[in-house]
Amino acid sequence: MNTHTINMVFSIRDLQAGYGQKAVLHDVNIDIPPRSITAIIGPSGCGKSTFLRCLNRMNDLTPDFHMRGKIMHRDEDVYAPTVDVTHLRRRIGMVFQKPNPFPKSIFDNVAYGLRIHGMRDSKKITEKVHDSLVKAALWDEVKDHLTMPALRLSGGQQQRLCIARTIAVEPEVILFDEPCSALDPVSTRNIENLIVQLKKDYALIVVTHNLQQAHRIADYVGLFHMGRLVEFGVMKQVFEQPAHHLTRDYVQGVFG
Amino acid sequence: MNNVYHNLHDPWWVRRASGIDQVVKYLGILSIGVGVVVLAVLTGQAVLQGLPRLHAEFFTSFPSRVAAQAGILSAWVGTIWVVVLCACMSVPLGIMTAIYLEEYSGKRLLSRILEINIANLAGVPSIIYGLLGLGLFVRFLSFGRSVLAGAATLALLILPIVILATREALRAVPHSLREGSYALGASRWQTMWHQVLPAAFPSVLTGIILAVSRAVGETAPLIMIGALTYVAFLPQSVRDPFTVLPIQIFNWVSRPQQAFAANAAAGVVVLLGITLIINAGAIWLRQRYRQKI
Repeated sequence: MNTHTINMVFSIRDLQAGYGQKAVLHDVNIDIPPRSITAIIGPSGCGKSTFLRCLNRMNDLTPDFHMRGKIMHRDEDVYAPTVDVTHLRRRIGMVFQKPNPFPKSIFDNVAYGLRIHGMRDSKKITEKVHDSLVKAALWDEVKDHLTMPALRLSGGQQQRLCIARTIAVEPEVILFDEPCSALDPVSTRNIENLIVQLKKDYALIVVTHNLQQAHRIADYVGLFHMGRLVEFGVMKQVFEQPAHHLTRDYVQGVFG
Repeated sequence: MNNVYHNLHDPWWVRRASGIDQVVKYLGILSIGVGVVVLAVLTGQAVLQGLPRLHAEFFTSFPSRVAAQAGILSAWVGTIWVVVLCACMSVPLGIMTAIYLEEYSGKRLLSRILEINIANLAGVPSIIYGLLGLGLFVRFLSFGRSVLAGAATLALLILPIVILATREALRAVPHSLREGSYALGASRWQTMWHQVLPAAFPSVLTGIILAVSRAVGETAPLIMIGALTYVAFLPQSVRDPFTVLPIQIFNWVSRPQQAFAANAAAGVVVLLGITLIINAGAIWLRQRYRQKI
């Protein structure tokens, strides 16, 4: 594991989290490197989604959620009382399992984030929407009907739209919570290609239960099991020479 | 012969199942029939009896001792004054209360107690609200027997309905919509205003319309606070005395002369018409709104 943590996007120390009486995460320590794809894998209920939602404080919205430990984003404590959550979530974007475009036009879906953060100049908004849709590899498909309701797009297009609206507010990190599990294979490949494309500008953390997907796109892989981080390292190493017997069993499909 | 698709050899409770389907179907048709027939008879009778009186002067004349000259001018104008004012008071209050309880307050004990009480208030008989209005608005706040007192009393009456309907509507908005907005760094109010409220709007509107329709037809609390039954002038301000359609109808029905019964029937038709127009307006608004999405 990398020890010089200065350049890390996230440094997480002794993270414990849970809902009410139920403890979900135990003693998680992890460093997420910049401009790379980190895949978080593990069986259902192992805490990988909870972990992801700690990073942009999405768990704040869940009643009874509690956590201990430290999550540093660059040199800022994510859970410091002075942190403005809206500002934090803008810098740490999130894409969900099920595509959730707003019931508005394609254009307004991307423009929404810009407007709520105070952009008024319609020329600048138009430009930014264009750039974001291009970056999300959706522009060519939607450029002629930007005023169409976003809900009429296919599932894969909707997911790319959700990525476009996340990109529009200029985050530094994008969190993906099983972004392809509701999509068909072709759309999945589109999203995967897009994620790989995005890595030159952003740090990407992808929760997935699809091992092949982690193998195809990830630079680093972390395996969670029963709320603990079992192993974390460079993708090739985790898949080919796992240090832990649980990792070996999981990547070979002995359990899952 | 192949008997796979016949259930002759099944036990009786399995064979009974398809029979029950038939019974349920006809019971349903019968229940609907009762409602439709009763409604049709009532409406039909009112229309038949009231139709001769439904000409222009009926809407432009004040009540009179002579049945043939009596009209509902003060009644329908009063109804509109009271209902519009009542909606202006109860709708913003109700929606803001619902938003606070649903989105801001959390699930603490206090909000649970409030929730139970609001649900109970929605079922309190309207005459009780009349007593409250008499004590609070007419006497204590000395609004007098005015449009303002009537509207405020009706606003209290429908406030629980508006709150409950709005909360239900907010709850029905999928959580994923809120998450999408929060994940972009939107604040609670931005998420509420730009995403949740527009998505909940059609259902909120339905609830408000149901509540307002109830206010249109309410009589007891207004009699309790002293709305007049004979008004030969139009209210010029919210501090003026007033009457409303249901009270005018009640007044005519209680007279012995047969001619006034026709007036009452005509009034019923107008009252039904107003309710129908409000409902149609709501449906039209909702439809237009859905098409935009």
